[in-house]
Amino acid sequence: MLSRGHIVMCSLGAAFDAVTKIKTTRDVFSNLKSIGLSIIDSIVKTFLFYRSKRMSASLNNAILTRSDALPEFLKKNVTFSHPHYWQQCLRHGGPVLLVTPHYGPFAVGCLKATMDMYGIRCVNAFYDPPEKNSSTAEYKAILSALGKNFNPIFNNRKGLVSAMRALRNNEALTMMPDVFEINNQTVYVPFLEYLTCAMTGTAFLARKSSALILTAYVRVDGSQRIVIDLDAPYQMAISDNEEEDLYRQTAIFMASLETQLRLYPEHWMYLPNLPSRLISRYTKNPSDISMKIRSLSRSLNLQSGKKL
Amino acid sequence: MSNIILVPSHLINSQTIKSLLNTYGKIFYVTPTKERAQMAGIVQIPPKVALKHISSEKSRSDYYLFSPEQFSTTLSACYIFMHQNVKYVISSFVQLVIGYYKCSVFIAKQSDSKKVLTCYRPKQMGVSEVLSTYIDELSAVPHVTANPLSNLFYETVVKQELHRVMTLQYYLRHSVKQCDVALISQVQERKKDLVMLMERHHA
Repeated sequence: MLSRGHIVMCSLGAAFDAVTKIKTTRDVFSNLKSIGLSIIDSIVKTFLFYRSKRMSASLNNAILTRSDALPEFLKKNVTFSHPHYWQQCLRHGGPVLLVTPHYGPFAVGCLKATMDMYGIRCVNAFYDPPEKNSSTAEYKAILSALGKNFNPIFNNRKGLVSAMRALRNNEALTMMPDVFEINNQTVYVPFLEYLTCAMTGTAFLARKSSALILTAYVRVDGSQRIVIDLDAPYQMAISDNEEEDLYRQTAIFMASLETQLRLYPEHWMYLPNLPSRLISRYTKNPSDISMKIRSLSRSLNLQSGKKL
Repeated sequence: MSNIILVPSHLINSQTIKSLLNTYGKIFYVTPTKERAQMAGIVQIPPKVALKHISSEKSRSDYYLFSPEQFSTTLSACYIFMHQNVKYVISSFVQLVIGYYKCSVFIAKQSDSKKVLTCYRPKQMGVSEVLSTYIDELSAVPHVTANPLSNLFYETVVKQELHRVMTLQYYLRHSVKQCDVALISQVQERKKDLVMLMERHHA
């Protein structure tokens, strides 16, 4: 599924993309620099961004056309950065929340989970229905390629109930924390020295179910190997203040993504659109914060209950 | 009665200001505090000061120049009106000077030579009529960069206010004196209202 020939073709394709898709190349390069990479690293990672995209597309295509070879491929080629975290997750008796952004060939990670968890728990993937987001049209076919132990759940009111039910049944649920829309669940959290929009939905499910949270990032490492970088599994800290809990957990998800992006930014699908996600620089200075609160409250005609 | 001159923001530069100064003599340029920048030959004042001047008897013959699209506003204090099936939001400052203080309104447009601004009086002096005429003027000009007209769109104003609300919510969480319960609940309520307005607008 990922032969040397594939890798060579993807590399050549990536070089072609980098030269022909001038605007995207410029955007990716400057976004990489803004993350703090040197000029040389930004050039290299721009090329790797295109290669990662090509490889993910090639893998998705192979999954659809050669699903018979999939179990062998997943067994041989997909490895974990921390295998003991994965074992801990497999051994866990309760529900599991697999959190992964649109990063690298994430479908391969989901399939690996589906295969390894067969006989232990069903894997459910929560994503936008194709009528809401056309890019998810192929997800069902790709993620169901193993033919068993997988269930898609669409992001809508009914889907939320299904997701809760799955977690109550001690199943696994994959969530993607890097998509957002503006609604009551949207909050601003710190991300790459700016504020960004994030949804509290994943944290909400984690809080309601006390699921074990495992954050995963799937990337092709340049050879024929696919590595799933794992953060240590944990359960969400719960207090009496639900709103604060959801905010804090959502901020943790985005902080984890930031850490990953500082190491391997080239696999993130939204890298070309990074500036549109960075809303405004945030300050940590207490006096600046007080000033911001005062001026924002004033501009919004909101009354403080006490002196700030 | 004071005079106000509505000038599309993209037309304000030192050359056009000079041409207006030559025509009207003393002019105050009303700009939102944060965006005030030095411009030779013209006195710049914030809207609050302008309102003080206008409400006093002294300023009868003075001219106050501003671009309505430069004023940020909140939905709790603004003027909303429809023009050609589009919902617009205007700062209450603009509504006050036109509707309450009944200032004499002039709208500036670029001359054919594009070197000077010429001003004309709108046919009707009601707030909606004046602003509709101004919006026609603002939308008639092709805009190279971001269209300043979009600042007046209802949807833009809701989004901008929601941004301020969510930023405030973030800082309230990170404030050292994080216990202004009244403010926190007001922010939550405002966020809920704005999200509802946005959803209703899209429906």
